[in-house]
Parts: sequence; C-alpha cells; structure tokens
Amino acid sequence: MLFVTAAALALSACTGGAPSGEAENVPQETAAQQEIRYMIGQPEDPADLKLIKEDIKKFESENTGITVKLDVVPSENVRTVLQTQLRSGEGPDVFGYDTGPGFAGALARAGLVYDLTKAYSDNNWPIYDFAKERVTFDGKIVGVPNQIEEVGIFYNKDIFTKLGLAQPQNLGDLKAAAQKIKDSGVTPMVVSDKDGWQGGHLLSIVLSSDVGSDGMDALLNGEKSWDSPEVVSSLAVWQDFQKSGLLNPSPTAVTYDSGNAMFYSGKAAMNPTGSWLALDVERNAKFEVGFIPFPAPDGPGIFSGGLGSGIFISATTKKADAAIKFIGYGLTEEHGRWAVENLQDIPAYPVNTDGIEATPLFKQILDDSAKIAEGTGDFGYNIDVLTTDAFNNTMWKGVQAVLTEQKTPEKVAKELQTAYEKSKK
Amino acid sequence: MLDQPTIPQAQTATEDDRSAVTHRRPSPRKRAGLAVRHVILVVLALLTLFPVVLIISTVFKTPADIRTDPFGLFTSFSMENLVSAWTVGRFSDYLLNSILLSVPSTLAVVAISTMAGYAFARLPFPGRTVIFYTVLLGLLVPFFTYMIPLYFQLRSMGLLDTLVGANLVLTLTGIAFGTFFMRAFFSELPEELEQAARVDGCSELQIFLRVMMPLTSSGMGALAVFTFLSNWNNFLVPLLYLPSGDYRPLTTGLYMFTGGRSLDIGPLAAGTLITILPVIVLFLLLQRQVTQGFISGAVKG
Amino acid sequence: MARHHHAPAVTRRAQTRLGLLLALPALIMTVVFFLFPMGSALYFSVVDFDGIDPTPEFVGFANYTEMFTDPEVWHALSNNVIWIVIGTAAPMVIGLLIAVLIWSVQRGSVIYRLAFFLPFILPGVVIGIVWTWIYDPANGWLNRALGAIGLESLQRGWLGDPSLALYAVLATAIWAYSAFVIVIFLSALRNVDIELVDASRIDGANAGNRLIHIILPQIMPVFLMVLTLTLVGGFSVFDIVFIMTGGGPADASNVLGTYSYTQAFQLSRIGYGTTLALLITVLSVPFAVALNRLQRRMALQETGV
Repeated sequence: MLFVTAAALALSACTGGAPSGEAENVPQETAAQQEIRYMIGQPEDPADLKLIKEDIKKFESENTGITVKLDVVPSENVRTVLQTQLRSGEGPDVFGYDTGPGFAGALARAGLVYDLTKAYSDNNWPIYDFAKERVTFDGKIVGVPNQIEEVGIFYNKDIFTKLGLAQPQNLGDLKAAAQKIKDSGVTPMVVSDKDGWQGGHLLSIVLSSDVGSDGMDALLNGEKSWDSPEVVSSLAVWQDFQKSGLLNPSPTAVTYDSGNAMFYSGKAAMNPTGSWLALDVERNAKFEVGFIPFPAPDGPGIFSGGLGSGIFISATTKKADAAIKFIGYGLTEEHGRWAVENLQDIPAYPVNTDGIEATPLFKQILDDSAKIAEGTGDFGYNIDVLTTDAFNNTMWKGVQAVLTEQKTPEKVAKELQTAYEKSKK
Repeated sequence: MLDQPTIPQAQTATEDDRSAVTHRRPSPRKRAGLAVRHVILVVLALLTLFPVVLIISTVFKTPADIRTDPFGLFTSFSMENLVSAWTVGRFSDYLLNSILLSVPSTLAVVAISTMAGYAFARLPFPGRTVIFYTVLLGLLVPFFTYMIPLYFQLRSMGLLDTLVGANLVLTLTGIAFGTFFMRAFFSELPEELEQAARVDGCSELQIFLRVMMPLTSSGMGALAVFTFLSNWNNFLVPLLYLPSGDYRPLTTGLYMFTGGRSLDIGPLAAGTLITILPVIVLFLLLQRQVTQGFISGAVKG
Repeated sequence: MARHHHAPAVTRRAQTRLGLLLALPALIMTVVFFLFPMGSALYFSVVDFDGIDPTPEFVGFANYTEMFTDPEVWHALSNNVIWIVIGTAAPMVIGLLIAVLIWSVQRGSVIYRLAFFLPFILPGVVIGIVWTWIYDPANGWLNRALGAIGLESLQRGWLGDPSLALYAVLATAIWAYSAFVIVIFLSALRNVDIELVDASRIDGANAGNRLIHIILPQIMPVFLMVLTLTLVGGFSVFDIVFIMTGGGPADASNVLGTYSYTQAFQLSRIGYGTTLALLITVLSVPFAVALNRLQRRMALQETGV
C-alpha cells in the first residue's frame, strides 16, 4: 500500500502534479485595488508591444482601482504555457488566444474559460454576429474577438497597368496574367514557405475561394472529407503554378522576409499574404498596391480569414469584474479608431473610419471587411487557427512537400484527412 | 602519453627553436612553396571569417538599404539597427539574462568540479569508484536522454521558468566534464606535497584549500573559460526551461527574432553581434585559456 | 620514509569525511537532475503523455512499436548516419590538412590559429542564422558568388531544396567543427618528431606519404579522440538543423534530435518524443564506450613504445 502511494506520488512528481478542481463558483476578490494578469503572445512587430503597454497605461489611468500586469510569451509557446497554467489554477486573469474549436474551443470544453454571455448582454458589446459565433461554444460566448484578418493577394498595380492587365476575375485570368508577367521578365507571384506556416494560408485562400464558407464549414466539421477533389485541386494549383514557373524558384528556401522584400523591390508582382502586412506594404512599396482575394475557378473568390485572435477570461479568475472592465475598454468606438490607426487592426465591430489616418489600401481593406462582416459578403477561413497543432503540422509540411514535388496533392490530401480524423478523437 | 596541459608559451619557444635549428636558409624553390602555402592559408582564413564579416556589414546598414539589398557588403552606414535591437528588440535584457545564466552556473561548475575532482583524485573513501563513475555517466549520455523528463521534473519542483532552475541545469551539464577535468589535474600533483603539509600539521581541509587547489589554478581557469563559453552559447537549455519571455538570454532571443512576421534582418544582425561580441573579446584576450581548455578537455576525454 | 602506504587511522578518517563532503554536491546534482529524470524517461516511454494530464495512460510498448514502424524514424536515422559519416570524415580531413599546413609554415601560426578557431566559439544559433543568409537563394552570397564566376547553373534553393537541405546544413557544421579539429591537431602536431619527418623527406618520401606514414601515426590517439567525439555527437545533433531548416522542407532534413523535439514539444507527444530520445541514447552510448576503450588501448600502446 505504502509502495503504491509512494509510487503514485513519485509518478505525479514526474508528470507535474494534479490540477486544481473544477472552479464553478470562484470566490471573487473585493479589494478596492486589484491587479489583473494579462498574458499575450509576442506581437509580430515589437513596436506594437510598446503601443499595447501605452494602451494599458491609459486604461489604468481611467480605472484607478485596477492595475494590469502584462505577461508576454513567445507566440509558439503560448498554447503550452497557457494550458499548463490554466490547468494548474495559476493562469492569467485575462489572455489573448486563438479563437476556434481547436483552441478556445478546447479550453471551453475543459471548463477553463469564463462565460461572457451575460457580460455581452449587460454591456451591449457591439461585436459582429459572425465573429460572435466563432467564439461561441455549447451556447456560451466565451471570448471577445480582437480583430479581423483577411488573407488574399497583394498585387503591384503599376506592373499590371503597364502590361495592360485587369484585375483577375477568376483562376484562369490569374494564370494568364501571371504568364504575361513572367514573359516580361518579372516573377509573377512570390511564395515564401521556408518557415512553414505560410502553407496554411496558401491552402486556405485557394480552398476558401473554391468551396466558399459553407464548404469550409463542412470541412472543419467533418462533414466533408479533406480527401475531396476540391482540396486536391487547391493543393494542385500551387504545384501547377510552381511547375509552370509562375512562382519564384525554390519557394521553400525563401523566408517570409525575403519574399516580402522581393515584392517591395518590384521583382515579384504578386504576394499572397494577409492584411496584417498592409502597414509594411504602405511603408515599403513605392508603387500602387491592390489587395484581392485569390480567385476561384469560376469567380473572383473570397478572402479567407475572419477572426484572428480573441481575448478571454480565465474561469478561475478572482477578479472577473476588473477583467470584464478591461475587455470592455477595448471595445469602445474610440479604442477601435485607435487600434485602426496605430496597430493597423481591423476591429471585429463596426467602427466609423471617417477621418482616420490611413492609406487608401488600408481603407479599402477596412471597407471590404466591414461589408463582409455586416453580411453582404462571404469570408473563408484561415484553417490554422481553427484546427489542432497536429493537423497544422501535417498541413504545413504537406504544402511544402507539394511545392517541392516531394508528394502529390492526392497524397497530401489523404494525410490531411488522416490527421483530421486523429485530432477528432 | 597524451598531451599534457603545459603552458603554451613553452611550446612556441620550442617551435622557434626548431625552425632555427632544422631549417637552413630556405632555397628559392622552398620559399616559393612557403609563399604558396601562406596564400592558401590566407584565402582559407578569409573564407572562414567571411560569415563574421557578413554579420558586421549587415549590422551597420541603413534599414532602407537592407530592404532592397540585405547582404551587399558595407554599402551604407547606420547605427539604427543596433539601437533598435538594444531597445525595442530587448537585446539589452537578453544580454543581462545571458550574464545571469552564464556566470553563476560557471562558478558553480568550477566549485563543484574542483571539490569533487580533488575528492576522487586524492581522498580515499568508501564508494569512491562507484560515485565517480556515476558522475561521469553524464559524459556518456547525451542531453537528449533526460531533457524531456527534466522539463516536467523542474515544473513540479517549481523551478521551471526560473533563473535558479536554468542555472541548475546548466551546472549539471557542466560537472561531468568538469569533475573529470579537475580530477586529472589533481591526480598529477605529487604526494610529497600532501605529506609535507600533513607533517606541518595541516588538516585535510587545509591541505585541499591552501596547498593543492592553488596548484591547479590554471586548470580551474581553463575550466571556467570553457564552461562560460559553453553556457553562453547554450540554446537548448533556455529554449526548454525558460519558455516564457521573462529570463530569455541572447541565444533564444535571436531565435525568437527569426520567427514571426516582421522584416527585421537589420536588428537581427545587430542582436547577433551583441551575442558574439563578448565571446570574441573573451577569446582574443584569453585565447590561451580557451584553446587550452578545449584541447585539454578533448584530449583527456 | 614510506609513510604513504601506512597512513594513520586518524588521517584516513579525516580523508573519508572530507572526501564524502567534497564529492557530495556533485553527487546530489547528478542524482537529482540526471539520474532521476533518466528514470522518468523510461516511465515516459511507456505512457501516452500529452504534457498536461497528470495521470497518463499506460501503453506498454506501443511507443516502441510505433517507433520501429515509423518510416520517418528510419528516414531521420539515415540522415543522422549521413551526418555522422560525412560530418566526421570531412572535418578530420580538412582539419588535418589545414593544421599540417599551418604547422609547416610556422610563422604567423598564432594569427592563423585565431582565425581558424573563431567559428567554433560562436553559438550554434548565430552560425545557423548567418549561414541561412549565405544560402538565401535570391540575395545570399553563395548563389551570388556562383553567378559572379559564371556558374549560374549550380545555383540552387539550398535550404529549401529537399535533396540538398541536409547537406547544406552539414556543410555549415563542417565549417564550424573543422575549426575545433584544426586546433586540436595543431597542438598534437607539436609533439611530432620533426626529425623523423625531415629524415623521410631526405629519403625521398613525398608530402602525401610523409603525412600518412609518419605524421598520422604519431597523432593517432588524438585522431581517435576527435573521431569519438564527432561520432557520439552525430546522433544527438540538434541546434544547427533546428535553426537552419527546422527539419524541413517537409522533413527532408529531419534528424532524430529534431524529430524527437518536434514530437515532444510541438505536438505534445511526450511519450513518443522521449522514446525517440532514448533511441538516440542507445545508439550513441555504445559508440562512446567502444571508442573510449579503443583510445585507452592505443594510449597504452603509445606508452609501451
């Protein structure tokens, strides 16, 4: 008996101890002065971190009873660090995380996030309906989406005009335009995939345009197999483009930075990436830039994207009120305009963009997303925020393999289906 | 026997002596051969140093220049990258953390290894052989074997993500070699010294501290330099055991810069320079200890 | 006085006490931070642990079975073998040649030593980063240099080319490791009897013969020692592959070390990742032991001579 206990204790020491029990009604702190812990993943642009800190200071000055301690974690570690801390009851009060069933959904299923449904109705938070849906699990709204992201193609309008090319209206147009650009001595499209994560976007944009948001829903729900012809053909588009010389040589050797540099210097006419790059594009491209969705076989296509990350409250927080105030601060019209101007975020709620300091490119992106969000358009999905790490791993490696011709699109599609089934267990 | 850790100055003298004695005034053919060899060596040396040159060139370019021609050599000049790496890029913090990780662990390794090395070399006690080989096991077994479980063990000990925890791990990785190294030094010291000290009435502890240890100071120095370098350059330990950003040192700081979605080759290069500059300076100042440390370590290994 | 064979009991007791005391810290560190996790490793390899659930499911030998039937394991292992073979042979040859070259010119050897040893003291992260720049297909110096001398046809994607990625990283590692080998050999060469070398030259032996038959045997123990170090390190190589390619593209340059790491820390498959790490151990330890023995035997032979 003693041995078993000792062994059990030793084993639990190995694995790191048991988590604290389910926290249904956590006693709340009532002190006048409260400190809430706010954890985020490292922002891609270090300058953004400074802005976030200033924003937090502003919140603190407007809410003198609350101080915010900011924890910044490397973005690839956020998932593990957060899960570990939340489960052991030592999690932050507020944290940024990916929305979507594989991430926030997993936390929601494990009872680790605070139910915000009441907070939404109490405070009339103006989040777009479609965005709210993506943070609702089991009928409970558990998060507040931070920003909308769109992934499509930035293109060099000057080159297009010079070669007499119109905005591509379908996949065939795109290919023809690319061919013409290639003949003029410029790389038609730069694809960087050394880092791997770009693969998720590459697949997302082609697939979203092909099957629409309904089709993406079906894929993500398991109703449609990842083995389907559309997935295969979407993967095949990239292999086809690569074989036809419409991409830069050796995309898997080119890093994200190098790829962007090629676009900015005019060596490549098109750059398939997301709206987060808009600010950088403004700063570095000395030509007019347009942003369009990746075309579908039969039409202009839709942007993939939708939600980036969201902000959540831990289920075991003792400072729920303070946390909710903090979140609410980020949802005012004023804050929305600040986020647009300074962080180049596209807020997930309607913001009046009149008179905001933004370039034409970004304004266009803002308008597009507002239209889509308000229901007059359709959004595809960024697959990688909605699936598990294991699925993403397979997808990222699969796209690399397609670009290097190490594997056929059919093989990769099958692997995706296998990975999807495994992740559902 | 294998190479003894003698002071290199003596060696260089021998070299010159040899050349004076055995080489007469070289014939023209020999001179040409010598010149050719020098040329080859210079070319190879330049190629070897090229990457460092590339780093320096990239650091001091203007950001605009980097956007268009990131690796052209010395095509512009600006201190901007260094400044932004130091401030916004947080490399000043990373430098401090590297120091906080390397110095304590180096001191610990030298202290523990010297003590243990002496014990294994000169103090008979029951179980000495077994314990010695246990400690030495760390030399045979790669870090990979236990690095994953060590993560969870540190977690349950509350040492994950702490400077203390990371220092302990770095210390551990150093004492297998360190003990072996110091033991070899101590075992070469003559017994007569010990006897004489005992006759003089010194206690065993005094013999260790006052007589024997000072005689191995060159070994301790070499070990310190070697260990410091290894720990400064260590990547896996902070990667695994300091996952949040609080105590990130230069090595993982650099790695963080390479991921992500921003165009910052300039600050990255600056960060690289900040990382290697202390190491290069240390190397130039203490090159005898450094090379001696590596050589003796490898030779005795 | 032959006192050292008959130390008084008082001294022996004092020595025992001090000995245990001095050895204790090393022992404690070893037990707590090395032996204990090693034991845990065995435990981890027989459970399905995701890093979070404190009571993982016992799965017996499932991890081991998976490992032996996982094609990626064999692929990674074959990469390790390539790495070991080329990564040992090349630095040895290059290092020896350059060391001999430096030794033979004698003047300025200090400066050469400094220059050639520098790569070895740089952190793997830095080496990986700067060489990634050199290998960059668009702007990097390798392709640029090839283009400048008219060899455009040899330009490649290097780190992004699945058939070349591993070799590109390996070349970088050789660049760094040769530095170490050069300095070791230089030190060993100082002990070479130069009279023998001169004598053989008078006898008509050319440079190659001199190298192989005169110089090499005199530095054999050091040679073997370097061989051991490289061989053992080859199974657990990680830093530089991780930084330069992450094992890619699409696992093309995966080695056991990167595979173990990604399984454990990116896919949260701790059990499987640990099993792979144990494989690394099982492969490298016998080599270390065997070569250590061989080296001891050769050292003893040397003394005999």
